[in-house]
Amino acid sequence: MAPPATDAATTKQEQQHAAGGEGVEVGGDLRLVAECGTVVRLSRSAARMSTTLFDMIEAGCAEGGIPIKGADVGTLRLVAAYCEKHAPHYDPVASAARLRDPFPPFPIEFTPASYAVKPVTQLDPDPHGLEAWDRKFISDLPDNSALFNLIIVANLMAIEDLVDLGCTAVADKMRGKTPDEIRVALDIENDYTPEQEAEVRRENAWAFED
Amino acid sequence: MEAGYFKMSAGAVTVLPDDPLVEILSRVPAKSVCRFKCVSKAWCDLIADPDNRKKLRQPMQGLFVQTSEVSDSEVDNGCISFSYSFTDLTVRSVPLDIDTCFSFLTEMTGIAAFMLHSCNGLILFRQHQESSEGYIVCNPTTRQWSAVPACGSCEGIIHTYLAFDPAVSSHFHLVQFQMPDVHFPMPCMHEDVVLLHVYSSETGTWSQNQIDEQKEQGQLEGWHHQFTLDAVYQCAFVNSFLHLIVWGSDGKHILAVDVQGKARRMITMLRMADESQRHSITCYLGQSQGHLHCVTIDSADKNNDKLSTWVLQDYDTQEWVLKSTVNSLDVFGETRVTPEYQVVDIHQDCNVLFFLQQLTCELIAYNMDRKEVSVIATFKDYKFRGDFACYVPYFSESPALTNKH
Repeated sequence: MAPPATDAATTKQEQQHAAGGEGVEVGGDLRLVAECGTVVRLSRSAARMSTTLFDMIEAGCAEGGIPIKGADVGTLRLVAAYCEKHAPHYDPVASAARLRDPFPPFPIEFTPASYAVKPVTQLDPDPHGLEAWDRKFISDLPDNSALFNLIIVANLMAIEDLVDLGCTAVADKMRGKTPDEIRVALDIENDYTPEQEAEVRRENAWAFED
Repeated sequence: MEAGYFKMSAGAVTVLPDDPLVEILSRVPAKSVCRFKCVSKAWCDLIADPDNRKKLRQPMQGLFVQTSEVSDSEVDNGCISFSYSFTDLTVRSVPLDIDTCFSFLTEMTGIAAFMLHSCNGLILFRQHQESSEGYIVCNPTTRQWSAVPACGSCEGIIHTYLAFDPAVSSHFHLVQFQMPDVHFPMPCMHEDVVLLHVYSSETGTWSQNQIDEQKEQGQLEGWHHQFTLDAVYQCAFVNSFLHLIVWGSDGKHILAVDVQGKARRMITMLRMADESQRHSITCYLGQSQGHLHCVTIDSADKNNDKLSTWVLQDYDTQEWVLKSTVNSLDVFGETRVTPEYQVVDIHQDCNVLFFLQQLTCELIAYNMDRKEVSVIATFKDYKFRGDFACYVPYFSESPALTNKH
């Protein structure tokens, strides 16, 4: 069983004294505590990606265990893996100003190497391989539930890039589906009466043509 | 019950809270969002909720119509007055709550404005008044508007376009092309000159002339020397670029310009070498479902035009895919004289074309999927000029629009 969360009220000096390779290291990894009590470690640079954790670090209250309410250990480990992978290339300003296009993204910056008729050669749009990693990260998730949990925890920890990745992944799955397919995928109960549903369909008839 | 309710296979339950669900839906196209109103009552309420509407993409609701009349009266001889109406495209249980006559604009001391262009929920007007020349950008859904001063000299032919994409930024841009009028050459404008100015609502100012200021790259350098803007002055806003038809020595192309006024792409129109396209002219350029579309007319058969709708499915390979063809006879029926018509618009979210039949003053919708024709409006005014702007609701109160009715 994981050690209980360290009392955050201990002073830094006491912590350093008691460290000896165990317990909390000042300036070291953060310790996130899942709902079951298991600790997941996260480096400080990776923790920057979470606005919540970043604020806590700045306020000096990120020492000791940080409980992440409602997060299971599997999801927390996935979140940590994402943050560790993206941390070296994380740019908060670019992240905030990022284009958010629901339709397939089009690379905005490129050098047209030849005239219009021939296909245009492009600069490598994914220089650090992050996009490919993200795609595999999402496709490796076992089921929709794991993806939803990921979004919920990322939302809780205010990791905007991961929320965006997760939501876009779900949106891509939902696009073009019929209401029935959505109900089956998300196991949602249809609480319309047949007459009510027919009325809503009638008002939005154009949306059902393919 | 919350809108996103999911049961895991082990029997445990994961509930997707409303906030992430709205985030997800905001990344889904308007057509799908409309369908999802049928999923459950909770989803319908979530989608219709006023706060959520600001984030969700809205489907095209209708077309604003501008009619202009030249006054014959002795007092106002030659004075042009504008009036506006709205053609609703959707079946509605609750009436649409927008000011379809733009009275919130016109009620202010006699602003006579000419509707130019609409983009993602905002509409651009040009002001024609002695005391103040300039532009007005307004959001008919929130009744907000902003005045934009005119840019420099107002000589020659001016085409101004609005660029606005709420997914990218809550600010809008205006891109203004200014060319000498060959019929009225001005001493200060040489023949070939094209001036390009850009306005940003964020800075609140017009930029300097962007042509020759920019280091346009590669083959696009000096595009304005080889190409001139086409008489078909429609503009399609796709992928954050404004697309316009330009004329060159080798025929028509589509120029893609970004919101800074920099030329980014030159897209070929359908291949000139293709025998079937040799007699075609492009009469319309527009945006639908996130892709660039164009409509060509083949008038080889005198009384029966062949109208083809093409879509640029893959922006990178620049291959035009034929979406649908229809004969004008099938759309307008048998008429004693060759019908005069114009393509007004293409529906933003589905495969429907809108035509204006000038003889009968009818607005006709042609559904490409079901191959159905329907008359959706008839206009009584025979002096009808027929300017249309498509209406897509944008519910967010934008900081870019400073005035509110």
